[in-house]
Amino acid sequence: MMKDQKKKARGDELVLPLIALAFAIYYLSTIWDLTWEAQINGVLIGGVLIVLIFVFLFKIAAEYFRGDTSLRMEKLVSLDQHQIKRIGLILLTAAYVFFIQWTGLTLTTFLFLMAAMALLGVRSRLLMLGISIVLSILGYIFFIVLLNTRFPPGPVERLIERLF
Amino acid sequence: MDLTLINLFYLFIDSLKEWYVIIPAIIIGLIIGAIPGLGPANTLIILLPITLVLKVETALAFMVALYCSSRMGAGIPAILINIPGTAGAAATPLDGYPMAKKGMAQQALTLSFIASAFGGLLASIISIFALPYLARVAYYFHSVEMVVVMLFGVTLIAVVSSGNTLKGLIAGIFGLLIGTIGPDHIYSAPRATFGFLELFDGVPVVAALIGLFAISEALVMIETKSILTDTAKDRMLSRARWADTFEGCRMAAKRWWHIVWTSLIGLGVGVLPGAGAPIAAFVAYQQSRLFSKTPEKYGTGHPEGILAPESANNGVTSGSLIPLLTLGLPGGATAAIMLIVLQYHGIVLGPRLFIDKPQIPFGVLMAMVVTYLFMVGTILPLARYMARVTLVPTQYLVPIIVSFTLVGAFVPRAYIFDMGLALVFGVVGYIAQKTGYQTSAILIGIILGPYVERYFLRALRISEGDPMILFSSTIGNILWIFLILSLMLPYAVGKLRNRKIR
Repeated sequence: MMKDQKKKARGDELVLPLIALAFAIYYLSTIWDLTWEAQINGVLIGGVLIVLIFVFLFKIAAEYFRGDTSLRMEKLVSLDQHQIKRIGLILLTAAYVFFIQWTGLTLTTFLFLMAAMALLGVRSRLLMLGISIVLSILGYIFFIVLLNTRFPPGPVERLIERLF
Repeated sequence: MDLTLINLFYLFIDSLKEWYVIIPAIIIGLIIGAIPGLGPANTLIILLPITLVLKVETALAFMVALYCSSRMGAGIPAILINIPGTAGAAATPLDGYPMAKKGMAQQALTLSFIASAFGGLLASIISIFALPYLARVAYYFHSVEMVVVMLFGVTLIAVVSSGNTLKGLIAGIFGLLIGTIGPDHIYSAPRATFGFLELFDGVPVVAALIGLFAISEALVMIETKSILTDTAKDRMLSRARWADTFEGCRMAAKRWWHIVWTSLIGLGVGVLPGAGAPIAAFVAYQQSRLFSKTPEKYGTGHPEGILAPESANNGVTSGSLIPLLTLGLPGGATAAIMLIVLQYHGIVLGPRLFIDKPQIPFGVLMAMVVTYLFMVGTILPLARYMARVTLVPTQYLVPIIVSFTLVGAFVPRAYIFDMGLALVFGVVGYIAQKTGYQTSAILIGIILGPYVERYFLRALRISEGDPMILFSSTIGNILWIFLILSLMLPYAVGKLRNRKIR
């Protein structure tokens, strides 16, 4: 076990190539029945990508069997304080994307900013509230009033529309 | 109107008189350029009613000023927080952000502003005198030549991944494959869309850019209280000083030749229809590193790594308007809006314009000259205050970056799907950053993938599938030789240097 700890951990480095490999295989499966014009780039680029990934995997495997490398995943799979915050932020961002169609830009941005700042350890509630209110109002003015972007309206946007 | 110095002087004075629209347009352009997802095209559409009521020269000065300044604005977040405002600034953070992290954000911004302003200025002046000749360049560049131009950009993947070529190539080619998601260019058959209708048009570059740079950077930033190192923070915490701006000016002045030739790359790429600021910036960065005496410093906060992409992407602005002015062909969305405004005012673009109303095409380029001159005066003093953004603690910065860039992902296509896609790219970018893969290599691939495919397929289609068409033109073959040389030269120079050291 101690010996394994001393080896260079390279398990994390396999994640992206494996994602890329899965995507390349999926890509090739979707062009199987198409004309050669639609296939050629996918075959060329996907083919080169698969070859490179196998070269990389072979390199890591050789290092592993030589005993120079371990397949531990130290950088991506750890449950320290930062990782918990990171997962929390990803979940909050996903919630932001999911709820914005009902709650609208202003309210969702306000709630997201409050929650994210609390998650990241801002202690002053007054400061959190102040920043969230100011930025969500600025977001409303800039994106909805000035730029007229087509964000789905939420309760705040509907209320403002009724008032003015 | 003949192209005499006195006539040009009058044009210059006329453009100066439009200061009251140029200055507000510069400010608007800087803001919209700095926000990912926004750009001059969608802002001009919103402001279209204003441009239609103004007299044509004033409207053109306004549009041109907004167009130029948005290019400069895109470099600001790229340097300060590693988030390029547009794809054209995607090569700027490669050296801009490392420099900002060292506490030299003010110098980095100054370099970017000077390169943008003087690169753009020089390209505009050259365009005025060489307009008829530059217009012809487009005739000589067909699909075959364009494939090689795009490949110049693709070689940047190898450049940015010089630390670990295999990993860099995997990242870059993964990006290229992602870039070809969506319809093929002949029959529009959808490929690898995961069943999402929103991907039937291909991967939106803004969502990819926001995810790979902004969201992934925010996920990394969580680990530290500040984006600056302790020494850099001490340096920045001492009062904002003019001396740092002057140091940036000195760095740029010492490398004036670098600004000149990289802006010419921008002008050259800008003239080519279908190319644009991202290609120009990538090619300029790659060539800049190739001919640098200190290529090993690229990626660590090298001044030349900021000057090259910024002067090139501003050199593009005048170049991209040349097909519009000379042939009436808009080279991009912004040029298309200008075409609409000009048509509304009853101006027919094309060769005839130079006989009927020469003050219009030359006036557009002169307005660019004036804009770039104004830009130096308005933005340079602000560098010392903008640089303070790097001092904001990450616990405030991260939520602001995530929320406002996600909103930016929505803006171009108005799909909530694009915000989700940005998050997915953010996670991919985070994995890449933490495990030593270059996110910039993935983005270069995503941006260039559709271009490479389009021109490659067109060439093959013309030759009925014969790949030898790629070596059938003289200009193309010369470009191939340059491409091979630019790939081999770094190795040859490196070996020579090693021998000398021994």
